[in-house]
Amino acid sequence: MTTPRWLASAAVESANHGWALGSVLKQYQEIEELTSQELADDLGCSPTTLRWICLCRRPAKNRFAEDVSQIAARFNIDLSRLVAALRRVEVVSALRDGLPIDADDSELLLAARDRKPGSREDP
Amino acid sequence: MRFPSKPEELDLHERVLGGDPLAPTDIFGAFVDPLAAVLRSELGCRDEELMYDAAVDAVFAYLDAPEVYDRDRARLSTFLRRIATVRLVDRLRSTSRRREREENFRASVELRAEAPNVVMERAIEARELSKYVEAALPDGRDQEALKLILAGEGHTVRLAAVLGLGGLPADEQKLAVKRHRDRILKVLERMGEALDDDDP
Repeated sequence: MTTPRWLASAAVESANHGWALGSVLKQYQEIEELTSQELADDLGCSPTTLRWICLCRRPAKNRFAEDVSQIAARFNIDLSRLVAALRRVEVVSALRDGLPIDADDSELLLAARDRKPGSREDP
Repeated sequence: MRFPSKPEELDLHERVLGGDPLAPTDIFGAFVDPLAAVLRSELGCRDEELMYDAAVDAVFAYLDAPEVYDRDRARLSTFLRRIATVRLVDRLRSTSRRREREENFRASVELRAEAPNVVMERAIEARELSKYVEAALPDGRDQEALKLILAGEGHTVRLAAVLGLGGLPADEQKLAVKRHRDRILKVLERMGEALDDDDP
């Protein structure tokens, strides 16, 4: 399947739409200071696949696991890496906004502290 | 490139409303190319970039507020075509206004800016002319007054100061300045006639 000529610009534009996964992944890129290629590598996909992923709807809170599983399955990407990226953005955003993180969100903090596969542990 | 069938469109719309995370991706995949094709064939748009941008804009507009689409009034493809058409017209207008602004700016710059050879020729001519002026008006005060006159200075007091007439009473000063001004311009006029006669 050929890559549509409009895909790149649509993926860039997705960062400006709160419902789009592209807006979350853009935040993740900024937090982690990643290029698009590095983000694609991080998720285990090609830059073209990453652009399609940007056009997905961001997972709903009440069915997070189901939504991310669907996205990971469709694009054949590493589920745990996608979850870690989304959780990290959620936690950083909550801390940045000064919102209290309740007990239900404790797993978010754990996810935020997760290390990427292959990265060094703290001393 | 064809639009999805009516049942496929409705199914996609239902998935969007239901919050299916993959529905927006499928909407883009199903509608952007057919929308761009319609803009090309029905509106005669030849700018590929504008066409695709308008089509992508339309899909984002729908996905930003999918509940605005009323399935009882029109097909989703018709709804998106209308948005894409409006977006294309907006973009064409904006591009046309930008081009007009750029043209106006370019024209004004071209009017002000002269070619380097013209600037150089003018400088040489000015140097030659200044030699004639110095010869025709050897008094430095007359030369300074001429500079002011050529620069558009019409104020008696300033011209009087340059001509050394600052101490005269106002009425006399005005008459004296007029007299000197007329004399200087007469000299300049004669010089111009002499230069014209010298021309081959």
